[in-house]
Amino acid sequence: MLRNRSIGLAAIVLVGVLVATLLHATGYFQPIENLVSTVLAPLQYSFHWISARIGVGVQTLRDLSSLQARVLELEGTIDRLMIENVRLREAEIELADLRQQLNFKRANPTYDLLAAEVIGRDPSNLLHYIVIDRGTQDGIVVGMPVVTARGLVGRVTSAYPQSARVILITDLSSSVNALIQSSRATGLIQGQGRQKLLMRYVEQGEQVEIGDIVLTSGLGGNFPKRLVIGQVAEVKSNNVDMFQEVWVESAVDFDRLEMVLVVLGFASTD
Amino acid sequence: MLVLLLGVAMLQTTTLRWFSVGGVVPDLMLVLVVCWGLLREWRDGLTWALLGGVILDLLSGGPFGATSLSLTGAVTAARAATVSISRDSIWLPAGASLLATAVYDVSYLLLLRVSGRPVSWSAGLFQVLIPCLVLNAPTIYPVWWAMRRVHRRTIVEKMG
Repeated sequence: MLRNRSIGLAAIVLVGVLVATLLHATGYFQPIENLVSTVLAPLQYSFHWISARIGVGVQTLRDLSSLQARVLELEGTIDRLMIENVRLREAEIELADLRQQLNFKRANPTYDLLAAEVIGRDPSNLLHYIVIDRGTQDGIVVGMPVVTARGLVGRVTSAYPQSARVILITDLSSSVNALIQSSRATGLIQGQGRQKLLMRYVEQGEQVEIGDIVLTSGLGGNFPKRLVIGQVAEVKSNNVDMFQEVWVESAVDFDRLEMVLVVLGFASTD
Repeated sequence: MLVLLLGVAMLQTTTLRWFSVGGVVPDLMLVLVVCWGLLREWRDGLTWALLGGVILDLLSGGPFGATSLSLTGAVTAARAATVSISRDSIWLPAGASLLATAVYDVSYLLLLRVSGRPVSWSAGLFQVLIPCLVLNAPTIYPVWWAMRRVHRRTIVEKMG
């Protein structure tokens, strides 16, 4: 009896499926499908939303270790690029400096110039000397003038086999015979310990204007002629004194001196 | 000791210029020998001042001996002025630095004058001495603390 009931049930289900298939093919099943879809769709969406979140979380955990490796790799690349950038920037500055010196050399073909690097300063704050990395082995001799493309730096006072000491024109014991380019007024530049220099013994009647270029005059034979020293920054004169006091701003920034040129073959008469 | 003094001399003539203020750098050698002169006996400070001074004189364009004599005077003055002050006082290094810097720079200017070099007292005072007083005072503290540790360690070894 039970077996007959089962066969009957199966037959009914089979007929039902056949009818549904026929109805679906003819389009009569559409309203039922719509109803079922309306009920099931939100449920389906909810399940999809939850599983999607879980899926993202699982994927994130999987990606975490590879992301960490990628971050480390990128950080390494950034570090390398930063170092490279610094190196290239330094090379750019050095190139600009060397171009300036080359232009100076081309503009002054009569001078035999030797490039040197500043490797030290005087330990005393009261004195103004630098040490360069060229010496007697390179042909450096005491008394040789030292310049940069911007202007006069000083003079070699001591020469050793591989280095030399240079007194800067800002030192109090330094003096340079100079002239004002426009008026040709002569005087003596004396170091005052800082960037400004004092030009003494300029006669009262001489025309001196702020901004005038000051050059070496070549008098005394200590320095070649027409090397730029600086520009007039201030003029102090009164009718009582015999001479004017002319303050000159040096063309060279002595605090940032890194490379200089030694004028070889110039024999100081000192 | 010689290696330390040579190292300090190299720092003072090369690296320290990157930390200059108005073209003036801290007097690292002065600060070092003053610290040692205060922590140890006077003759220890004197020895360091003389040796450190000779090294700086060899690197300087100034008259030979000017640095060593000036350093010796500075250490002596700092020691004499602080003999009754506790070495644990927090103001001791700064006070010693101010006095030592003044004695050092004035001595050096006098020696330059005696050696026949032109000297500008106003430039020396306003461009060098005053900035050095300001720079050396904070510089002495890390040196003081470092030298105190060295002093304590070497004293223990000596007694042991």
